[in-house]
Amino acid sequence: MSHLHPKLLERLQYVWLVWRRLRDGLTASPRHRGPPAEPQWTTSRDYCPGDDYRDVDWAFCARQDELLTRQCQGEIDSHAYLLLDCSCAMAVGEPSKLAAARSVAAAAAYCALAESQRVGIYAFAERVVAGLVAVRGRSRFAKVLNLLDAISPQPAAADLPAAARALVRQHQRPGPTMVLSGTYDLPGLQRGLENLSYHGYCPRLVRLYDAQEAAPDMLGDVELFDVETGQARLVTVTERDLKYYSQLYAEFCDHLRRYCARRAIPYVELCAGWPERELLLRAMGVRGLPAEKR
Amino acid sequence: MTFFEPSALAWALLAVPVLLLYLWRLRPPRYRVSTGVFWRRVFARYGLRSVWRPCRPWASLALQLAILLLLILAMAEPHVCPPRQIALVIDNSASMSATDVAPSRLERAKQLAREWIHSLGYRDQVAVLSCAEPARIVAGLTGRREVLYQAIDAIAPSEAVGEMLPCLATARLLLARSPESKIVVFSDGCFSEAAEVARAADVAWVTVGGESDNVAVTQFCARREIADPARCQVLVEVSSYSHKPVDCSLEFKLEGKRIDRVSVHLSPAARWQQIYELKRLEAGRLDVQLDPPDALPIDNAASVRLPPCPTRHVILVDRQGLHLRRALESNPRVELSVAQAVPSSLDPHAILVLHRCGADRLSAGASLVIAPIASGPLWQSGEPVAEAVVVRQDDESPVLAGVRLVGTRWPGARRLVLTEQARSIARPIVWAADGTPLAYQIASQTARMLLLSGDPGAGELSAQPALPLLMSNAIEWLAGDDPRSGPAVEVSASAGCRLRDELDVRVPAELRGVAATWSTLAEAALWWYFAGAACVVVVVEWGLYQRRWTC
Repeated sequence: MSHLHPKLLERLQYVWLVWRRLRDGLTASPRHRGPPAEPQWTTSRDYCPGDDYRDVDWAFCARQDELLTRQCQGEIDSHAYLLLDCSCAMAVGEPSKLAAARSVAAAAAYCALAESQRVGIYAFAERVVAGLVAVRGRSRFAKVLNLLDAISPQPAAADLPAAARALVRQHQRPGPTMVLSGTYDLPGLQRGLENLSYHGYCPRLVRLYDAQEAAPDMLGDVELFDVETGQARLVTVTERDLKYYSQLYAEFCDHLRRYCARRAIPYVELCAGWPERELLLRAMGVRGLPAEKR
Repeated sequence: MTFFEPSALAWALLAVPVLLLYLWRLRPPRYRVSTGVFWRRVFARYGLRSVWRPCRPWASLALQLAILLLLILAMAEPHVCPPRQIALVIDNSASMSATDVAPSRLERAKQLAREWIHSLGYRDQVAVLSCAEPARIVAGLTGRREVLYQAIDAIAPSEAVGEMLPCLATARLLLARSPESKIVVFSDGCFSEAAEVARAADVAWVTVGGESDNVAVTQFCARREIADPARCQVLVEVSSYSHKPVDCSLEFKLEGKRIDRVSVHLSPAARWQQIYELKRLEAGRLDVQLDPPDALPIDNAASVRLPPCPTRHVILVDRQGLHLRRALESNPRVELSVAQAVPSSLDPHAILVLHRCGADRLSAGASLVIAPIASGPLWQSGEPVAEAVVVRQDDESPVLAGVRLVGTRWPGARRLVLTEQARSIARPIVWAADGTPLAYQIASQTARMLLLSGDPGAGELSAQPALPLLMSNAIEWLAGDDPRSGPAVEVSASAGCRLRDELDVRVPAELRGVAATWSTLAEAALWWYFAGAACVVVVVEWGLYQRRWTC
C-alpha cells in the first residue's frame, strides 16, 4: 500500500508549475531545457570505479585493450540529491514526520526531473539504508515513488555525517542536495552540512518537526518515551516545565537558523501537520502561496 | 467518640471505586518524543522532584482517601460529649391521632423517637414517657435500644387529654441526678402551654404535624320528652376548628339503619346545634357520622343510647269511670287491663287501680284507690264530706307535680279514718274546706298506695288535662319514680364529646417546623473541624497535583 497521497502527481504538477514561475529552489543551477547537447570530447583519463560506462572510450579499449574515460567539454547534466532521514525520530507525530518528508522528497524529485536534472535519493538513519542512483527524465519518477514508498522508519538515530560521507564517496559529480531530517542532533547536522558544503553539494536543510515537539500540551503525570534511546520516563509536567521546554526548543531552532545563515545554507522548517500543499510549496521555497488551480 | 448520623459511615464504600479508579489511572498516558534532549534538561533543573516522584502517586491516593474519610466523618457528625440522660416524651393525646402526617402524627412521632434512639451514644441513657391521661413512664432510664424500641411500640393512641405538664414534671424527677440531661418532646403542640414548654431550657422540642382543619361532633345526647315519653329528643352539636367555611353532612343511623342525612354549613370557628325528635318507645343505639372525613377521624362519629321507655302494667277495677279509663289509656307507658273485680292472682309488679269499689284486697306492691265505697285494710270509711272542694294541696308531693287541684270538686268524697299503722306512714296531700284530708299518699318500704277519698274524674276535673297528668304522676310515683326528676338523658361517650376543647389540631404557628436533633444537644460540633480539615486537604491536593499555573 502506498504511503503517498493518491493525488500526489496532480499536486506535484501544480507545485512544479508554481516553482518554475518563481524559480527559486532546489535546482537553482543554470537552466537546462530539453535533451542534453551533443558532448564535445576533449581529453581522456583512466577509468575509475563509479564512472559512467557510457563515457568509456570503447574504441580506444578495442585498440589498446585499456579502459579510458572520456572527458567532455560543454553543457553537461546537472545532478540533484535528496538525503531523506528515516530514523526512528521521523516516525513521531500524526501524521508522522517521515510521511511529510516523503511528500516533500517526491515534490523535489518531480521538479528536478521535470527540469531534466539527474536525481539521486538516499534514505539514511545511522547509515544509508536505501538509495536510488541518479536518474533522469520524468519517466523515472515512478522509480522515485517506489523508492519513497518502500522507505520505513528505522530503529536507529539519524547520522547525517555518515550519510554525507557515503554520498560524497559515491558521486564525484556534486549537485544541490536537499537534506530532509527531523533530528535534534545539532552537532551531527552541522558536521553533515559542512561535509556536503565542502564537497560542493550545496546543501539545503529542510527540518521537519511535529506540533507536539514545538509546543507540547501534556500536563500532569505522563510517561515520556524517547524513540531514539528507547527509554521511558515517568515525569510530572507542570506549566513551568512546558515553559522551560519551549524556551529550549526556541533556542535550538534559533541556533540552527543562525548557523545556516552563517554558512549560506538555505533552511526551511516544516511542521508535519501542515496541509500538504502548504508543506510542499514551503519546502520548495515558495513564500507566498498562490491559489490552487481547480 | 460516637456519631449522631452513623448511617453516613456507609459512604466509606466510596473508597473502593476511588481505589479502583486510581489503580486504573495509575499508569499515566504515554507520549512518544523524538528526542529526550530537551526533557532531560528540563527535569535536570529540578533534582528534588526525582526523589519525590516514586511516592507521588501513592501520596495522591492517600490524600484523596483522606479527603473522603474526613468528609464522611463530617457527615456522620461525631461528638465526644459526656454520657447524657435523655427523656423522650411522646404525646399520644387525642390530637396526635390526626392523619395529616401519614400514617398519623403519633406514628410519625414514634418513628422520630426511634431515629433518636438509633443515634444513641453507647453510654447515653434514655427514658420514654407518654403524656396522654394518665401520664406514665413507658420505659425507665436505660441504654438498651431493644427495650426502648419495645417501649415506643407499646405507646398506643389515646382519646384522652394530654397531661404534658405533669409528664414533664415526672421526666424532670427522672433526670434530676444528671447534669447532662435533656427532655425531648415529640408533640403537635395542640395544648395551651405548648409554647411555654417549647421554650423551656431543658426541653428540646420536635413538632409533629402541620396546620390541619378539623370538624367534630362535640355534643350528641338524647332524652325522652316529659309530656310524651314515646318521643325522644336528640341534640347534635358540630364544631368547626378551621379558618375557612366548611360544608359537611351528618348521617344518622338507628340500630345500623340509615334514618336521615343533614347538610351543615359551618362558618370559621363556629358551632352548629340542632335538636331532632324521634318517635321510638324502645331503647336503641343512634349513631351519627360526619362526612367528609378530616384530619382527626376519632371525633367524626358519635353514638348515643336512646333511653328506654318502660311500660307500667295497670289493672283498673272499674265499673263506671270512663274518664279515668281514658286518662289512663292516653298514657303511652301504661299497659291497661280493665277488670270488674280484683283478679284472684295479682302480678306483684302491676299497679292496681280500684275505682268506686270495695278495697278489701290490695296489691302487695302499688295500689291506687279512688273513692272507696267501703273500709279497707288501712282505713275506715266515714260519713260523706259536705263540701268536697279542694282548698289546699301539698305542692311538694310528686303526685301533684304540675297539677293544680285547688277549687275542684270531688264528688262522693268521704271522711277516711286511717288505722294506727297507716297513719304513721301516710301523708295527706289534698284537703277540703273543713280541713278534711281528701287524699293520702302512703308509702312503706315494700309498698305504695295512693288513697283518694273522692273521685276527681267525676267533677269538673274530668274535662281538664290535669286529670291525665294527675294519673300519670300517680302511676309514676306508684311505680317508684319521681315524676319531678324528668326523663333520663343519655350522653354520647365519643371522643369528640369528651374533648371539646382539645379538638383544635392546628399546630401553633410558632412551633411549626421546630425539630431538635441530636446535634443540637451537643456542646461542640466536631463535624465542622472535619469539614474544615477536608477543605485544607483538598487545597493541598489541588496544589500538588491539579494546579495548572505557576507563580
